Amino acid sequence: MHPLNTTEAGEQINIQCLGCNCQDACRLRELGCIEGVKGKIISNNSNIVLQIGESRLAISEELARTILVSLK
Amino acid sequence: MSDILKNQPLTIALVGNPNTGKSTLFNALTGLKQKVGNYPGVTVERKTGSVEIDGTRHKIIDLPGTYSLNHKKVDERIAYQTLIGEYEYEETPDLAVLVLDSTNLDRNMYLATQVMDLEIPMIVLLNMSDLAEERGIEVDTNTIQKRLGVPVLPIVAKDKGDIQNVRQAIADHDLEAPKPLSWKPQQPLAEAITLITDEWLHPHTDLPDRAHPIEALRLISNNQVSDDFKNHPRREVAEEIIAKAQSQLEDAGENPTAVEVMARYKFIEQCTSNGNGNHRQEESETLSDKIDAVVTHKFLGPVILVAILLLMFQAIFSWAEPFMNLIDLFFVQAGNTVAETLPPGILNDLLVEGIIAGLGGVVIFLPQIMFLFFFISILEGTGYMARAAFVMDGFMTRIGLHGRSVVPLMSGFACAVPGIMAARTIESWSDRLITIMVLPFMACSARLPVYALMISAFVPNENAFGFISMQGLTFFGLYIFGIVMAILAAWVMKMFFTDGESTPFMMELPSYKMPKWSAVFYNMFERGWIFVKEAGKIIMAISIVLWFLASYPKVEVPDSITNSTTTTEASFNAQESASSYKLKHSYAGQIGQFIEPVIKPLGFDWKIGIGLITSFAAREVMVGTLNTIYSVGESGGNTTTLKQKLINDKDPDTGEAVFSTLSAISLMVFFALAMQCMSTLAIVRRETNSWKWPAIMFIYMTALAYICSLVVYQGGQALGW
Ligand SMILES: Nc1nc2c(ncn2[C@@H]2O[C@H](COP(=O)(O)OP(=O)(O)O)[C@@H](O)[C@H]2O)c(=O)[nH]1
Ligand SMILES: [Mg+2]
Repeated sequence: MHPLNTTEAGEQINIQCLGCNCQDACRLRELGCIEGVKGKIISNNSNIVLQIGESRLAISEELARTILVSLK
Repeated sequence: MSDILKNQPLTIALVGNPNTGKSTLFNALTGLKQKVGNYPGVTVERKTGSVEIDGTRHKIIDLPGTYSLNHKKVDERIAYQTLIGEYEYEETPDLAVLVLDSTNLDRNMYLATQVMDLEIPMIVLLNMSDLAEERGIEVDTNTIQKRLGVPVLPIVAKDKGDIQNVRQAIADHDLEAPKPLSWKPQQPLAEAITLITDEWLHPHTDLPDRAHPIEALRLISNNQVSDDFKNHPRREVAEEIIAKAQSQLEDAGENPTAVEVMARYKFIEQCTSNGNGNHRQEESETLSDKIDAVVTHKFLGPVILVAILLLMFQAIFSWAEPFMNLIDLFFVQAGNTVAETLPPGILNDLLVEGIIAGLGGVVIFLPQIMFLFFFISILEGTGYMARAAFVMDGFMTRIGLHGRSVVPLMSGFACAVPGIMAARTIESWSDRLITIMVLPFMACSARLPVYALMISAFVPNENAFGFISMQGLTFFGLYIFGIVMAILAAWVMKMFFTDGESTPFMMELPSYKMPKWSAVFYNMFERGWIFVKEAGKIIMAISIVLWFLASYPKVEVPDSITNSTTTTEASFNAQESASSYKLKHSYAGQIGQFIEPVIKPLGFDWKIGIGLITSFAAREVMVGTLNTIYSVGESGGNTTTLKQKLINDKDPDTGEAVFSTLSAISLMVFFALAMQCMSTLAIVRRETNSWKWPAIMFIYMTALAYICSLVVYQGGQALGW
């Protein structure tokens, strides 16, 4: 598993664990960023743009560090 | 609809995520029969309107966009409270119309499952079905309808036929409410919900029953919830029961903060997946992927944003100018015409110098406001605004603001009034409030004439380090000074507004679209009209008061001033000195002299005092007032003459120059910081929905201005400048 901020554009990932505080984690989940879900990195210029299903989420580097993902 | 309920007027709430087309639908349903206002107490915009179906007039409320009903953010809380009938003056809606984005159903359905828990009759609209089709996303309406047990309708909010279908669906609705928890939470979650409902919510709170399941889930998943019950007499009971429910879940191997979301998404999956899956194909990089990689780039992103904003403001300036000149010309003409037709007297003065000039002072803002909103609507409509906000968010949150504060703050360089209106695009109430409160520090264009006058008169036209003009440097310094003060003020205010709203470091980026032009123009005119209607009244009233202060009491001008000369050039000057004499003896003049002891330590005399009072109408009026006081004939080439007079002005008692470079700098510092603009206060009152914030703004900015000028002037003198 890697933190989300170490991924690269174009990589397919699988969200494993939301290690951020509970409120942020809730928010992420509501936005569809849930443990077990697949996603694709659109860009990583320290700020991450992540495609999950049809929604596109922008996540700051700080928050990305707390999200663990596995590569496919 | 059953017979009893037929023809009964309903209250219908539009609910959905941000950007799903609620407002588009709202406009289509209500036509132009709608009202824009604020929710009482907060600045979140509230639109209500009415729609006539089969002869019955129903009320429609456009609720703020929200991803869920759990959150503490003001906008989201409003949606929640309105739906459960706890919102101030609001009755519970009879029907909830959920507007979902078909291209992103899974995420949008999450909110739908929550609203279903509230036992409010509902209709689900799968909007943007045109886009879904275009992108090859299959939506199985039947399955969704069967699973949810409520009417489900795929629509395109821009399509007239579809709107007709929506009206029909409202008319046909049996007003049966869905059963709560129809997403069927499994054990152990179901048990935890029952525990909290039965042992806490039911016996100890007065929440309506319909809110129990959702409140129970909120308590289970949110660790910080005890805040809500801080003042509840049985608070320990709540904490104990919540802890018990949470530990039960943990014992069963579930994460209490995640279990609800997981369960809902599991249900949603059953609704939307139809074998083929509705996810987009793993295609190669699309154009919007490429655009996003650039515009959200850590370094390129802000550069692109600033470039776009510079272009935008350049356009606003140059496009608005001819209109502003026309408006100016029109009101001057109108004033002259009225002045000539009516017999001279109080009525004539009041009309020309009070009302017409005041009205002109309101309308003059319109071009800038409308062009600004033209561009903002385009930035929003294309989806770029979310990217801009994201790119700036890291920096802006560090100084206590929000990514979306960038556009309002930069608009503040032109004028604080449209800038403050633009702050509406910031969703969070505390971020919006702070942005509004610090925005007037940005050096608006009305300060320019004052800066220009003072700098040209008192800053030596020399070069520092051989190549940087001192005058240019002073100009630049004043701009930076404003920005730095705005940042400091935001930072300080953030400490007072710790209302538990953690600023999200994540946001959804809506897909890129062509903006809808009718919406762009509609928005532009709506904003203009709101300004005229709401802020215009206040600006008018204050203009008349200021006019009165500057024109009364009427005094006889001594003959020695009026009759001294004969040539035209000189008689022009004589007329000017007559008005100078009148102004000196007016109430404004008296106030100016009265406050002289207070402003003396800043290096200002009573003439500046009058200017400070009259410039409350608008900062640039300062120059006009000084012109009048110093009796400068406009024929003599405006500011150069005034400049000379300022430089030559001597104190009659001591013979010392009234102005020095130091007192000029002190004055510019004062102008940079003081709240001297009634239009700004009027718009703050409209945007925050209370007089409290404009009052605080006036006091803190003026106090800050006074202190800084005092420090500059006294410090400068102590250093022997
Ligand atoms: N293609 C398409 N665009 C739509 C549809 N409905 C709304 N839009 C666009 O989606 C954007 C967001 O709509 P808006 O009504 O402001 O959403 P709100 O945030 O929910 O009020 C606007 O640019 C609309 O023009 C639709 O059915 N199809
Ligand atoms: Mg809207």
